[in-house]
Amino acid sequence: MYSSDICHSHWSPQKICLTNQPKELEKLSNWLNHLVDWWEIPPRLAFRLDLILVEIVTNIMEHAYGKNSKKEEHIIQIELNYFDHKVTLKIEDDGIPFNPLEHPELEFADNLESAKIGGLGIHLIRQYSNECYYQRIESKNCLELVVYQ
Amino acid sequence: MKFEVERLNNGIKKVTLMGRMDLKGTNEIEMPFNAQISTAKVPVLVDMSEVEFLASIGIRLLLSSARALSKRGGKMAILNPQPMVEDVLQTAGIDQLLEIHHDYDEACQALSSMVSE
Repeated sequence: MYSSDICHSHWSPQKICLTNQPKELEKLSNWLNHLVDWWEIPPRLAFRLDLILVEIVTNIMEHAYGKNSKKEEHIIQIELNYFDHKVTLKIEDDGIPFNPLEHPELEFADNLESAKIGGLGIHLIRQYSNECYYQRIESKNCLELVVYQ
Repeated sequence: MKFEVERLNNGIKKVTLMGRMDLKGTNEIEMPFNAQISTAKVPVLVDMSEVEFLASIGIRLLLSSARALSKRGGKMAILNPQPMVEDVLQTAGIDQLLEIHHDYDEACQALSSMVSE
């Protein structure tokens, strides 16, 4: 089903391009499931990758393109590689500059009333990845994450 | 994503969530789920044993509905999340805000103390 998206070499990096529409998350999920089966990625690692990708892409769709996000079409490019028990994720978007590494740490609340509803996604991305790098290159946000098995 | 509602004999409302609690799944249930919780005048037990994935948007729905319930004097608890879903709840600090139970009777006991109050 994804033969056109997936390179023939088993261990080479795999890429997918999504538009900034919420329905694309299903395409992302199917693509990841296919790679998880193909590379035989263990369930726990697969869950973490799923969560990280969903949070990053949802965040881009919701915040990277300002008020016109629903009208203008933008491309989000994702590259994934599984090598030496590590998965490297590279995500590029052409949205407004945003470095998730500079985002303030989540402040944990001790009761429901003061619990903040926002900021959880970035917190989960940072907690579930082992290495995280950000660069702004030619008007693109380039995020690279490494997740250990 | 979908959910089922059951009114238990002990007065607790049990809501069983099923599916992937990502953007799409959460959007599918958000309004009816909130309606069930916000109209509840009884404690709510959210059975998460059939939730295979949880993202921050799903956590936001749990938190906002639990907060609405709490404002009216109600209480929500979570039952039997799968290990990786529970790990997300803990990483997000939700285990400090909502009780997570792995034993049905224990969860009912913790919630039913409210029913008699």
